[in-house]
This record gives sequence, structure tokens and C-alpha cells, in this order.
Amino acid sequence: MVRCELTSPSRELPAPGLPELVRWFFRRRKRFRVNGDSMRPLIADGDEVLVDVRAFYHRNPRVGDIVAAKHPYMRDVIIVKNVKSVADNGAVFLAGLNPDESTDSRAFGAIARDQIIGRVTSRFA
Amino acid sequence: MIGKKLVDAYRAAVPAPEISAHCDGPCGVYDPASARIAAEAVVSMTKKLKAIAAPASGDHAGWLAFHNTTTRYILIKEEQAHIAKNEILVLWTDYFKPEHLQKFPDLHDKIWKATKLCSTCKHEVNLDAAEKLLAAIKEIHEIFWATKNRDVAWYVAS
Repeated sequence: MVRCELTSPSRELPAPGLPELVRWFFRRRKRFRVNGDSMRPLIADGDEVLVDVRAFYHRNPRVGDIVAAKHPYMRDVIIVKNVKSVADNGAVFLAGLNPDESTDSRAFGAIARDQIIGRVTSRFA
Repeated sequence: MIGKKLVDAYRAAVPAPEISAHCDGPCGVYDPASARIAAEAVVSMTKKLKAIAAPASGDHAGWLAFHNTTTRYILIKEEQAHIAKNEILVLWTDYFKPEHLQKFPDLHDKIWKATKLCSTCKHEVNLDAAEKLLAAIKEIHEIFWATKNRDVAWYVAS
């Protein structure tokens, strides 16, 4: 059983408010600089985002989550993608929002649950 | 306000680790033109090989030059046919996506035939195969640019 997303997420990523900045200060969030255009219009090349590294300690990723994950084949490469579907075992199918500019689960298959680093919570404006 | 300035100053001073939101290659650099250039070289080398005249039987220097030249032509033909094959396969595996295949259901067949032609061009000195290869790459070029909704005219360098 796989839950599938019917539409792309229409929401926007908020700018980090004070609570998020405090969490970042206390290392509950990791800051990353995004390289590439596969997540446009939500995240543009050069944007910085905060990632909740504990987001999936107690729950599986959900369809529509924007997640940071280890690249399945390229060591030391971390990717940011949209969760398109989630299998019962927690494996996720990732896709860019901009398919022509994205290499994702369509190319490398589903990503194991333990390869997901965290959930993108906010984007620096 | 001061808090935001502090955060901005920190972000400017301390670079964040990179997270990748792009394709395996640098974005947007896929282009069938690289396969086309290689295939054109294969056509050119095949024509040159077909046109070269053998020297008289006792002409040692002539034979040496003949072997040297044909070897160079064959080497370039072999190398460029392999480059064309690789370029086509990279487009196939890295650029084309399932949604492109839905729109162009014969894409797999076209890729397969084009890469087979690359092999024929290596095995033989076959001008017909070389020209068919160029024509096959033209078809891939048309599909490629159609998937990007761009009207890019086909042209040859030679």
C-alpha cells in the first residue's frame, strides 16, 4: 500500500520565526544552502533552509513533506526533495517540484526511511 | 530587528553546508548536440576511409602513409562512435523521464536503434549506417527539445 500525492504542495515555506531561530540556536535545526532549481518555486537555487533533524524520530515522513535525505549513490551528497509517496515500511518516493531539473526517485528509486535526514521547516527570505 | 541583523550577519559569516536540489549533472547541460557532433565525425571519417586510394604494391613509404592515415581515421571513427553512443545513453538514463516516454512511446526503440547504429559504425566502414545514425540523432534531438517545449532547429557543423 502506497499513499500517493495527487497535487504538488501549494503551500509556501515560511521564513523562520523566533521559535524556529531558537530551535536552530539549540541545534534542533540544521541550516543548509540549496544548490539547484529542482524545488522551484518553493525553494530557489541559493536559498537557505532550516531542517528539523528530529522530525522523523517518532513518525514516518508524510506525503507533501519537504525532506533532506542522503543521496543513495553519491557519498556526502544530501538532497532536498518533496515526498511523493510513502510505503508501509516507511520508504519514501522523492521527487523534485520541477521535474525537468531534477534527478530523484524516478531515477534512483525509493529512499529507505533511515536515509532521510529531516524535514525542511522554513526558508530564509 | 537587531535579532534579524544578527542572524543575517551570522549567515553571511558562516557558510551553510550545501544540499542538492538538482540533477546528477549540472542543471540544463543535457543537449543532443554532443551526440550529433560525434556522429558527424563518424560520417566524416567513414567518407574519408572510403575515399582513400591504396598506393602501388612496391611503394613502401606510400603504404606506411596509407596505414598511418587509415589507422588514424579508424581510431577517430571508433572513438567518436563510442562517444555518440555514450551521449545518447546518458540522455536516455539521466535526462528522459517516464512522463517523456508516455508522450513519446517509441523513445526506447529509437534509443536502442541509434546505439545499435553506433556499434555498426564501429564494426564496419559503413556510410549508410553512419548517415542513419545522424538521422536517428536528429529524431532524438526533436524529441528532446519537444520535452522542453522549445523549438530548436537541427543543424550540422560540417
